[in-house]
Amino acid sequence: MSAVVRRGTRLTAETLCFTFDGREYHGQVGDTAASALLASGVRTMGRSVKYRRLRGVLAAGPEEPNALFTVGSSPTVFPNVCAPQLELREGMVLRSQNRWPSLRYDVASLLQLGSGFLGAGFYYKTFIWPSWHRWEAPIRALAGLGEAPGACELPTVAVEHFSCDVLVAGAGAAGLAAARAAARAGARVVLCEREPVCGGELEFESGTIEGRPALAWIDATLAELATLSARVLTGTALVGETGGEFIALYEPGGLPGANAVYKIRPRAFVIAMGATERPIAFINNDLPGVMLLGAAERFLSRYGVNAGRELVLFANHDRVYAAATRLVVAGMRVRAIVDTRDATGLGPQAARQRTALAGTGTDCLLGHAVIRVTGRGQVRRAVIAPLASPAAAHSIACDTLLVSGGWGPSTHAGMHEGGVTRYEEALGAFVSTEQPDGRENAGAANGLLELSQALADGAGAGTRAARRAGADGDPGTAPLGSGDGAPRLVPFWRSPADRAGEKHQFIDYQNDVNVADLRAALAEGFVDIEHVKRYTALGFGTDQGRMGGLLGAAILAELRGEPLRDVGTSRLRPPYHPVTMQSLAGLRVGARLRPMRRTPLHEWHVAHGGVLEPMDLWMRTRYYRENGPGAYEAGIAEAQRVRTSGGIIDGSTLGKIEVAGPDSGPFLDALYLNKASTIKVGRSKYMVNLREDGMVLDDGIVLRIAEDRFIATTSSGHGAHMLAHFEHYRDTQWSGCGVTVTDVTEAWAVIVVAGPQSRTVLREVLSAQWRQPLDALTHMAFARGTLAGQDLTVLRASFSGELAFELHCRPSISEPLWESLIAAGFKPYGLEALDILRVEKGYLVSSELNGQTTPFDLSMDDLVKHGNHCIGRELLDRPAFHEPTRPRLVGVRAVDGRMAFYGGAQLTTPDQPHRACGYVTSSVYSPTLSEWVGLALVSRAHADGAVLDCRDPVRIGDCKVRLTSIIHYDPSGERMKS
Amino acid sequence: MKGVEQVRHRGLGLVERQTGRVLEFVAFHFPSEGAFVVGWPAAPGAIRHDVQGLSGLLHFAPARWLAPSPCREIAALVAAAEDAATGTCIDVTGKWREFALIGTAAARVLASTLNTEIVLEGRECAAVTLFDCPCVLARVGDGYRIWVRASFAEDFVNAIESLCLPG
Amino acid sequence: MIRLICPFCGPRELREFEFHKTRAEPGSTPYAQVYERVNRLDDSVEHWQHVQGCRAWMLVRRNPSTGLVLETRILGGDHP
Repeated sequence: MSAVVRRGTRLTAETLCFTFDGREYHGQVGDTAASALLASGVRTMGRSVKYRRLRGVLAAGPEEPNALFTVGSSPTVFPNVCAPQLELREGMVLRSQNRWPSLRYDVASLLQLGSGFLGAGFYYKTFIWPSWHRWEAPIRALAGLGEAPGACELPTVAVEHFSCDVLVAGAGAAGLAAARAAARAGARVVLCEREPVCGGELEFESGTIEGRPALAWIDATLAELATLSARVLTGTALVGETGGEFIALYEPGGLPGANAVYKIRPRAFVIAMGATERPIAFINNDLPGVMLLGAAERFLSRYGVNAGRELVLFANHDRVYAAATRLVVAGMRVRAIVDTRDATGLGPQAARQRTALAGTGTDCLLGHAVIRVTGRGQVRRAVIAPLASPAAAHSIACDTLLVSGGWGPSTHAGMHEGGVTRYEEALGAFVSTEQPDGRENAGAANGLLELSQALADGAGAGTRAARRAGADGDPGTAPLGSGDGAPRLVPFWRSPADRAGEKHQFIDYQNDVNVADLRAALAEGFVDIEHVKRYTALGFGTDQGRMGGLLGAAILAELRGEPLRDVGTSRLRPPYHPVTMQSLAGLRVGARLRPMRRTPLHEWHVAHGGVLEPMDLWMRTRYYRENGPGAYEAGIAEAQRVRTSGGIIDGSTLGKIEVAGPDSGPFLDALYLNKASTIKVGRSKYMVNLREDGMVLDDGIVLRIAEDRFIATTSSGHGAHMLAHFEHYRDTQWSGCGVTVTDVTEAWAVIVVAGPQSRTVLREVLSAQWRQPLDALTHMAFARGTLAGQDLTVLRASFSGELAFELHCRPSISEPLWESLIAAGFKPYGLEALDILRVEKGYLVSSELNGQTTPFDLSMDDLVKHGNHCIGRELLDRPAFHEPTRPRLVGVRAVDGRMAFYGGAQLTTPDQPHRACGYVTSSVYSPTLSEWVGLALVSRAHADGAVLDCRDPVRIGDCKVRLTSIIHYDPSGERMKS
Repeated sequence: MKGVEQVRHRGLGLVERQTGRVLEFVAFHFPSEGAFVVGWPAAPGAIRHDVQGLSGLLHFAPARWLAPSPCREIAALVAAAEDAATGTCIDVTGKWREFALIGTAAARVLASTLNTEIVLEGRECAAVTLFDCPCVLARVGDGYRIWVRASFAEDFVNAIESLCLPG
Repeated sequence: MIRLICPFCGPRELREFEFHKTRAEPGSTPYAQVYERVNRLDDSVEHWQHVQGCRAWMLVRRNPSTGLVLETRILGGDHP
């Protein structure tokens, strides 16, 4: 436990407690998990996925590949949380990953002995005998990263869509300069920064800007941006973009799971997301104690944590000397600086710093490289050799090795939608050149690592962005500043090693991909970087190749003997960092997953024991609780009551389309198989739509309201499709003609009053003016009038086979009308009962109108014969539609009246038990006939009266059925037409 | 149909308004410059306000205008257009339910589901989907007028009620 | 999200639109229109509907290989 109160730009003096792997530790408010543990002397923070090698923290940002913790306790656990990003809170519970039973003693680390069998792509080549499945279970148990959370309550996300003139991603030197210039020019600026504070490298790089220390300049700039109404979003990372819309997630405290999701459409976009430092590959470069140079600087300046006591620095650029100077001032001892360049590589500032460091006892080597580090579980010694003669090595005792191989511009935000990059030898990195629609990189993201250049570049990009967005004010002068000098980098990717050593030169820490794996991939014939990536899993982890992607590409290029610019890097895709499903779901969670459509009578059904179920987007009543313990019993009771006296059902979901205009008759003729234009005003007709290939699409009733006005009803399920179908036809073949199409589904509530008593009850409920029209109403005719001042249409039509009336009324009077029908003695029935009634009468629903049946299959030959030229007519006259093997719609009943059969059961003949000659489309228990009845589609070879086997091995077993006419009850239709 | 306040908290009001008759006028031909009388909102997204300043006639879809609770003047305009055989007038009473969304948080509520700036750019009304519900949206003064398709209206109110906005 | 420019509503997110079908080749038989559709790699002419907006039907010319939308115009007007 550290008793010293550390000072850092992110810390306060207040302390807190947390646990890691069951032990209690102390930290300060502002600490991250990584900084507090480092301060407490903890260096091992996890094990690698495959070989279970001990690992420590390598980086100080979201690109950290090793120190991933599980936060919290089941079920609310957050796996794979990046330790350097996770802000500690009092009582936080942390666990390391990829180890069992403990971090120190991990059973699976014995796998390292079998590492020869576990190279890249091992699952294609090994563990095949006797059967992969025997090995699969234990291998899967070892694989994977972290523990998935259980069912837990997560906070709902706030989503915000907004536009702005200029979006600047990244609030480092270049980003702040860009935002300031754009805002001064009058643009609406949004600046987003993934860290909780702005500044980027300025946080530790000792720079001065416009005569002030960098940190003071940052504060002044942010204050100015506030006065210019710029919006600064900290703790907000840009994760991706599609089609000009940028997604940024506000994840405070480094815990995954956004609190807010921003969807931003800027007119212009500046990418100032900096550059990511990369390591160099040498033997055992994954030992705890090996850290990136910039990470050590950040741990020092932000959290007051010393990365180690005896340091060795290994780099290929000038910045290492500036860094070493700062580390020495903080009290760390730099034993050696290993610079791969020769003396001519150094700039004057670096040369001065080097001389000063040498004077204080640091061994400053040029043209050398660290060949390997050794130590049990952490760095103890560094083995260093001259590049000219790698055999002449010597070793130094140390506890920390800080490595830096250079920086790779974070260009991803420009690359997600396609952009072009170019390899810059002076950077040893790819810099983006072409970007879609004028967006630009600025600063380190543009390959400019010097502070003065970054500021100028940022100001220029911000100004150009403001101009593109139409703001032409004065951006002011670009800020002048100076900090660390130019890096003068000479690319260096890996230290010399023999074949055995290459196995421990790690490139991708998260997937344990080493140089030997790259060599193996090449030997297997995987040459392209995209293939190598997928074969070796290079770049697959949570860091998405930020540590090892470029390193891997460079080493691959070396192994291929080609320049790096020809090898390239693999394609970048969003999201930039791991995003939780919760963030993507946004508001569509729980009850808000999908919309729910309600009929005007919905509240009544709910209040009166209706059991509702979703049908597409509608909630429809299946049955009413008072009629039975479940759907089966209640449906039977409700159906029986309709046949004996009557009932009412809410049919408001019925699709209704109003077609109006002088050409509406001919228009409908073209959409239906049978003619609409011959319907008389005041009458309706059962009509069938064909699909363009001749199959039956839908059916419904069309009412002729007036000479130039019809209402076409569709089935509830096909409503949306039929509306689009009508609209499409009107806007293509009938554009400019005198016909309009309007969806009126919700303008009319529909109450079906069915049963022998229906006319009596209606006469009682409707006002006196309706008596005569009701009595005079013949089958398929309708009468229009008003009720309580609102429009009402009474249509005499039946889907139950009983005397029935469809009341189409305005929603505002639907509930009073419904209640008056209840008061008059009718009770409601639901879809379950409706299905029973319609199957008894052989009426069709989507089970029969399934898109695979022709009008001939459905015995609609008459409609075809008298039909007109319509959509689908041409393809109706096909020989294939008249083949003897085409199905025919028939009724079915069990030979033994007590047997049940279900829809979906297959029908076979005894001599061909393995080939279905048909199947049952619908089946119900009929209370009227006291047996199960159904409808089926059966090959024409079988006539009415034939007995077939009804096969249902999975559900209720087999029985014998007889084919009958499709109308099981009241075949002459007397009850309906009474 | 509720004519009462539905949601009121923290700078937000969602109030359902009573509607009387609601008409949709659908034209046979479009684009329709010159086909209508002066004052007819012919441009996409245009609104003709009635004498009380309320939205009288909204051009929310090609060749389709919404007339919610039309006053005598608007009703006469629409009837005249039908008589002139320019199109047909459909009585869609019950299809749309009208809400007023007001308060300082109104804009932020809508921003949860779409980018209002883009959708209302260069127009006074737009056919949109808000919280997965089909709507017609109009900016009115400091707030908004929203016509929601009736079967979705309950869901629309629930969506706004369940929004958890940053304080 | 990628946007389409609805001829009536202006630029809207792609999710508001539904693809219907490619336009039939002019002069093709009914059978060919249903079963012998032509998929063009570079210049696909398609019918889309702005289902979650104004419900306009529109003709969209796109390059399916690059995703670039070349043109959108309304169907159903007097000048098809």
